[in-house]
Amino acid sequence: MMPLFIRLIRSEMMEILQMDYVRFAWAKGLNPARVYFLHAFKNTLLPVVTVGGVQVGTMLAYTILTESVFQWPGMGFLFLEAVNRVDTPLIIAYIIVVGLIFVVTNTIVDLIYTWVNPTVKLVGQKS
Amino acid sequence: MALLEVKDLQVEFPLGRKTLKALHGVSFSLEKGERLGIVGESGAGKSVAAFSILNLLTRPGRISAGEVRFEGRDLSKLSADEMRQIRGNRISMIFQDPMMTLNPVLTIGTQMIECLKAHRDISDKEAKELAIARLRDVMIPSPEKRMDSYPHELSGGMRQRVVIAIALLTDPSIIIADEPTTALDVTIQAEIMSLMLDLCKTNNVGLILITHDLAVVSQVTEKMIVMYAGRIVEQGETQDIINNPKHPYTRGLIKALPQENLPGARLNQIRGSMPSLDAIPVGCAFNPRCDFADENCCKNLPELAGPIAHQAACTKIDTLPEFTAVGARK
Repeated sequence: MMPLFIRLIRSEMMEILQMDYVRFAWAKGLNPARVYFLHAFKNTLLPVVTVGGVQVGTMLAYTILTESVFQWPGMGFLFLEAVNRVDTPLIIAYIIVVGLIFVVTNTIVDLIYTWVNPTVKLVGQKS
Repeated sequence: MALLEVKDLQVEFPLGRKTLKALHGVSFSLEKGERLGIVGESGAGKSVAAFSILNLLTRPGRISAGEVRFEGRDLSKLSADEMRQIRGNRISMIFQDPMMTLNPVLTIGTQMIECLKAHRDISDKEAKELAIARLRDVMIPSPEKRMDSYPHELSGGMRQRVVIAIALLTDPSIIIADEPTTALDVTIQAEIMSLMLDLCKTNNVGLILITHDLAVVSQVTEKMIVMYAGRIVEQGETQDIINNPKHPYTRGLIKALPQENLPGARLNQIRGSMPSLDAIPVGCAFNPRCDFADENCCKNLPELAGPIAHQAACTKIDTLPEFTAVGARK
């Protein structure tokens, strides 16, 4: 997961450092750390958060693969066994739990999104 | 001694094997409280000149020769820290597009206070009060509330006001405004321009105004520079140049103004377009588009000549016909 984020942040940063508001931040005489980490990085976070949410899901799906390859006793391995044994209640339970994790992570992503990107508002605001 | 002195400034952009020269020796100076206009077509090097003063050129652009002196100090010899103390503190900038100059994810308040805190040793509370006072100066209604707003909650004109407020925060000696009204509605343009003029006058701030708009230049500035293909072709006192332009290019610009024409008449234009930086003609860069060009113009590069109050770079300066605005209304 790390390499993906590194590349994503790199390409986003390169784009955002060309933006006018970053130039304006330089023109204001701010110190470089503030320009990079606050002005540029906070804007970089938007796509990173989105991709991050999807990645958590992918990570869960791939537990089945890793756990069966390395014979690790875990949720993915358990699920595979259940399929082999046609243990329907266990399969259903697994799917419900995974579904729940997906819903929760996506909600968290949305919440983080409103914090990072003020143009997104989840609740209608009184003007 | 002038407050800001730019001497023989040359800027180049190394691109692979080729090196494009964006400025070929530009010199000008600015006294305290003086307002200078820089005009020219797109690509003439106006913005490059402005950005190079604060050494904010986009890479790979760099200053290859010449110097920028501010209060007698050569800015190119300053360390990064010293340079930072000048940027935003002594010399501020206003950018072209207010939609892009404010950071979309930070509140107006944050963006104002950080600028103050970078240059002054003051508390958050004092900084906030000063920022609110500045917002009031640029006539933003209920500035206390606006401090917590994000840029997307404001209109274009409002955002440019905020940018002006930020530029004025630290009481700079010079404001460099790079086409501050180009991206705004025509109705708002006049408002913003007169606001800037008022604030510059009351605070005795020098202004370098970069624009396409000759009308604005004539109303706001005292001195002006006309640029073409990285060179100054005419400079001097604004009224003098507007009323009696010497260089054929300046004449063309002034003739192209719509108000000089009778209703329904075709507008005058300068034929052709600005040469690209890698194909600047030999001799006077303007020669392919000039109505008066002869062989000499295609060989020799004219220097700025004439009294300091009004100089033009044209070899035929004395032989050109008297300037008359075509079809001027009576």
